[in-house]
Amino acid sequence: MTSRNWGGLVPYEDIAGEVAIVGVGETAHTANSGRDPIAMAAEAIAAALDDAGLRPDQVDGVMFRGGMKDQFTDADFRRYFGTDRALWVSAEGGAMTWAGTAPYEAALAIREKKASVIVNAFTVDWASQTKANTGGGPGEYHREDLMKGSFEVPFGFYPQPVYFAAIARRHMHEFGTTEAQLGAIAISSRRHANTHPGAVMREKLLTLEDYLARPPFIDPFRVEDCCLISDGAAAYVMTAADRARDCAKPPVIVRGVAESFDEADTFFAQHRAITSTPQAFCAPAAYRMAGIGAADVDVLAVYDPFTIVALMQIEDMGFCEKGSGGVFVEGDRLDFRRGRARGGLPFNTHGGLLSHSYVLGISHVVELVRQLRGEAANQVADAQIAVYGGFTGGTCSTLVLGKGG
Amino acid sequence: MMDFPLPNFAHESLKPFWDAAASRKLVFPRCTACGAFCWYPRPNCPECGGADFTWTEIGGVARLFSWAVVRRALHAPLKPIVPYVPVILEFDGAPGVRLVTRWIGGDIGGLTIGQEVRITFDDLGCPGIHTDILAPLCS
Repeated sequence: MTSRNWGGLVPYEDIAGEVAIVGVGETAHTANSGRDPIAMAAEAIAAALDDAGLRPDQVDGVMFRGGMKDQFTDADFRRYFGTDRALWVSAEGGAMTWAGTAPYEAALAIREKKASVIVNAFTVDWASQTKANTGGGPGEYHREDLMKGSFEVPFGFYPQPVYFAAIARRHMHEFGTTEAQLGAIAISSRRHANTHPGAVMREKLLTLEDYLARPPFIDPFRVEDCCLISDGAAAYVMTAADRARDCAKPPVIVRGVAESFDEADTFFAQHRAITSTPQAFCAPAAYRMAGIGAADVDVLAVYDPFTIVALMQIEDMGFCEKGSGGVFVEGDRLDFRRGRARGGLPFNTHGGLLSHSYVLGISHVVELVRQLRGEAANQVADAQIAVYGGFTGGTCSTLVLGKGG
Repeated sequence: MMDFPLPNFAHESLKPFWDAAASRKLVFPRCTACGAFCWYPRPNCPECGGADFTWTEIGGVARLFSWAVVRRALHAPLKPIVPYVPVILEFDGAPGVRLVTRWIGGDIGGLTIGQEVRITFDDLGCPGIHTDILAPLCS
């Protein structure tokens, strides 16, 4: 009907090799903690700085997510860490897509000598807010949108599990994907969480038989197809790659990054390519910047609010042909022990949003850094290249990380 | 049901849709310059950039594009009508339009993608919640 594409790339300069992640930190991830999100972010940042062997007074750049409530701003940084030096500030950080693109913004700031040590953090207390019924939570942004509020919410097409259940049904129709195949993603994520000390679902076992026996929730989803809601925060510290060697831990180098969008934004019902994600645009671009291909990726972490979103991104990032993701994820393919050499794809080795925590993807980046340092709980043997797939629905990002020398 | 989520009827970019629904008609904005349907309403046509739209009645066959069955309401105001079935429809002859609505035709298990459905104007809260708003549902 039209030659107009359904999405595209955000233009990025080449920043390959310029910036490194040198420190990572997290709070505990829990349900209904009652904790202040700003205090949680401060704890995560302090842990990340400690991990890097850096002091708070060495930080001269602060990134957070603008437009989202209760994020840790430069004012909070001054208040918690007592610094009075000039700070470069960016509201283009945070989690989701931005956990992948923050290193790009940081690289440009470092290149232009606006900052030299930059922290990016994200914090969320939606488990507490949901429990307290204070109106906050993942659905709030959608409920307040004029179009969704008038053309979707009154018909019950709300919140996110409903969008993605309809998308999953469409994927099943177009490609023959089955519920058991979606279940395979939930199972592998849970197995990884079971052996990860920070995972909310560490003690909760889940087999494919358990999954299939679970009652329908939002057909075709079971509860296990949907992410956790938890409280917690995570942060990472970035600096120039040539300075990174002086930090406490082996540096992790940002080798490629790209960002893309769907022209229908987060109006999921109107996505013309409804069974695809904008990863189809940004993953190849990030691989190009890094000089790699999908076959070179040792460990993958993908924003996984629902099993189907993980599945679509695995396809769109080139790990299998479009539409064959269901067959691809069966069995132990995604298990960290199998590895690429034996046809596997170590995936969300911390358990992801489905079973580790719901800090909206920033813990995925933390996990990848630990993988490349060789200090992960579910360590992938000889991991050299790690990739994060970020997602908001309307946008995606791909971040290619490499083990530093 | 005071807290049932009601559309914004007053906003100028949405009013024609709900005004038409009140008289049991289904209309969508169509670009005056290139004829493309543009949904949801937006200031400029994504095909040609045109800024002038004519709200046009759709008469073609409606087909089921996808759906979800909500067995446990995540949105409290809709709890009284679980299970409910939000659907996405497409229309023969109106490419570019996907209508989000709700299936009220029973036999949830028999739904298939691509099947023809009938637009039924009924209370937005049907079945069981009275909003006194006429809305295009489907059966």
